Amino acid sequence: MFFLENVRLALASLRSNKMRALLTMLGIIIGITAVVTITTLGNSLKSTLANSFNQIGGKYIDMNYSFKYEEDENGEYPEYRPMTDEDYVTDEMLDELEEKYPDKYLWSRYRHYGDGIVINHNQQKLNVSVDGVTDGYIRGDNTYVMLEGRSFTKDDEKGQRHSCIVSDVFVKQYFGRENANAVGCDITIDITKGCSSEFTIVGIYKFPKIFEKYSQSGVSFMDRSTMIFIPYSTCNKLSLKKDSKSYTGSVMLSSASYDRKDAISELQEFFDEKYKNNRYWKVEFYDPMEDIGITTKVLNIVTIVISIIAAISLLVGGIGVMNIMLVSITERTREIGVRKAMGAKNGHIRTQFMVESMILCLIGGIIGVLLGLLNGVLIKLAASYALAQLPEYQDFVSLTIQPSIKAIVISLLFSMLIGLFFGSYPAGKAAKLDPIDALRYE
Amino acid sequence: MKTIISMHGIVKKYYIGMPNELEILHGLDLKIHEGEFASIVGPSGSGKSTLMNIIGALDRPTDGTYLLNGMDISKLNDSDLSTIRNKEIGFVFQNFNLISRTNAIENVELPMLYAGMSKKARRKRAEELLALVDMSDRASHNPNELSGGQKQRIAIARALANAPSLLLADEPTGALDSATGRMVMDIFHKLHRDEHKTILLITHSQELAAETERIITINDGSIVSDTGNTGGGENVLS
Repeated sequence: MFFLENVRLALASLRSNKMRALLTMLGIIIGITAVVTITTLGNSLKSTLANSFNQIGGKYIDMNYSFKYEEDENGEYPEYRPMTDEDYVTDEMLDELEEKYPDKYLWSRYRHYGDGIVINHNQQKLNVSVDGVTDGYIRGDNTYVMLEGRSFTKDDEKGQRHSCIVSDVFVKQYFGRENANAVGCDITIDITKGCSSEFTIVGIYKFPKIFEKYSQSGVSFMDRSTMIFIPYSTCNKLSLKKDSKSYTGSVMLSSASYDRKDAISELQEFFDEKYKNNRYWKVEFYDPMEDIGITTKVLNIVTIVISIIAAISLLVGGIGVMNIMLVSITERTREIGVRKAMGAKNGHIRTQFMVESMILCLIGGIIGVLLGLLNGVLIKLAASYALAQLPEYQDFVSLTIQPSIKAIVISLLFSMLIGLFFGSYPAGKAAKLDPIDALRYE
Repeated sequence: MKTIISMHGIVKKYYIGMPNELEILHGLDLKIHEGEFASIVGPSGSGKSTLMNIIGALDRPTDGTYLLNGMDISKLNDSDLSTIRNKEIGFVFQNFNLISRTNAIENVELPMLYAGMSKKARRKRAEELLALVDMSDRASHNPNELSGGQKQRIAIARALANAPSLLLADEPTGALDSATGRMVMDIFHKLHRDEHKTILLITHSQELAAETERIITINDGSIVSDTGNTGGGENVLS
């Protein structure tokens, strides 16, 4: 009850001196704005990072070849030797793994079949590159986004079917328009130095902008060459060069419901066994989430350190508040005397000025938080503008501005604490005023 | 008849133990009974302000006993003195001392706020008091929108807020012209007559003092005359 009365009094007192209150608050406003802006920035970077990762579905497992720098039984270390074909993971190993853990792992497997030509209804020749890939290659990272239809299935692989996935660019080149209901249509591909064969379109992917920029600039639309993907097994069957190797570089879990840690140790165990007799190279698996974890930790530390530096400005603001409170108490000495004559105890006077100082800081804090959030919006606008200049990255980065609720709450509490701390000396001084002297004060 | 003020041997010294030690009051004896309308007169420097501060529980005597409404308040601490001022004394000042930025009715509510009354009860009582001083229509006005006479009427309403045992008026007409001063004095007379309030008027004006039932004259820190026959029977000069 009494507290509310004090809040009302404090607001009335601040209202009567708006300009002075605002100037006093400025230090607090700037400090809190800085803290909220920085924490918003840090938090946004973290969630943007996590979002980019989540687009892959959290199913991705990194795979690396690494040189075995291990002692043999004679205590000697092997001399470094570059990787040769036999050091790579072979199709046989993957087939064996598939047998052992059916449908668990999606391997990204890729084999270039050859460059080819497709002739459209207007007898125009379209250049394409034909590549045998697995479902894991298409969905393995977020390079390729499916626009229509589907990726390859087990049936495509097992049946070595003549299915294909083409780009949106190709659809426009071949049919002369977008939205051509291309899925289900058959096309004939003439492979240079190969045979010609008919394929059924099962899906359409969006040709990544990043490829457009780096390999297609200056080429007329009809001359642009895009990839046509065919099932990896089909490619193996059709391929004339039986000895050409496919290099596998990444693996995905077929479902996010599998435990990542278990999967990683399972894969590690399986391949350690396979590479037991390889003196030079081995395969290692690790969780890309761990990289994100480290980045997040670094971001957290940087955010906290900069926030603390920004918070120092709050101390300066606090001294300003103390200064103005002392002035205000001197101005209102007579009022304090009257209040005491009317029966106000020292505690009442102390509370009144403490509340006033805290309200002053809290309002400053609230304005600071609002300005900080506004800065967040401005940062988003600036970042979106910057990103718009780099269209080829738009597929990979999705901006998220995420203010840190924790930081906002702490900022507000901290600003009130500053009010409490820097208000206590002036309030104590007011409380201790002698009523006779205060009443006589001119 | 109940005794409101009972003072015995009141001494007030300043700068105690220092070369410039100053004794303002030299052992005053004073009794004021319930329902009295008395005045304390004396020239400036006579010690009447110091006496008023002690009577009003703003200050403690250096020596002597002071019973207010039966309570010995000469040895109380600051917090207890605040409570006494809040409940037992109603101050009316020469320069009104209303709190700016708060309107008339909130000024009247102030002593009740410190007494811990609920908002509703405060508002109701404040409205009654404003009606008593004929200021109901100015309840929501701020002090700077009121004339001197109106301010003093608000101040009187405020002084009556917690139904104190003693109304202590320090030169209440000093800052007013004679017409409004007359009006304020009429309110005091009315309060004395109709509400049986105990009123102590501190003034330097013999004229004003003459309106009261009892005139206590103070000079150089001692009571030099007291017209009241109930003044403890110890009239110094009689």
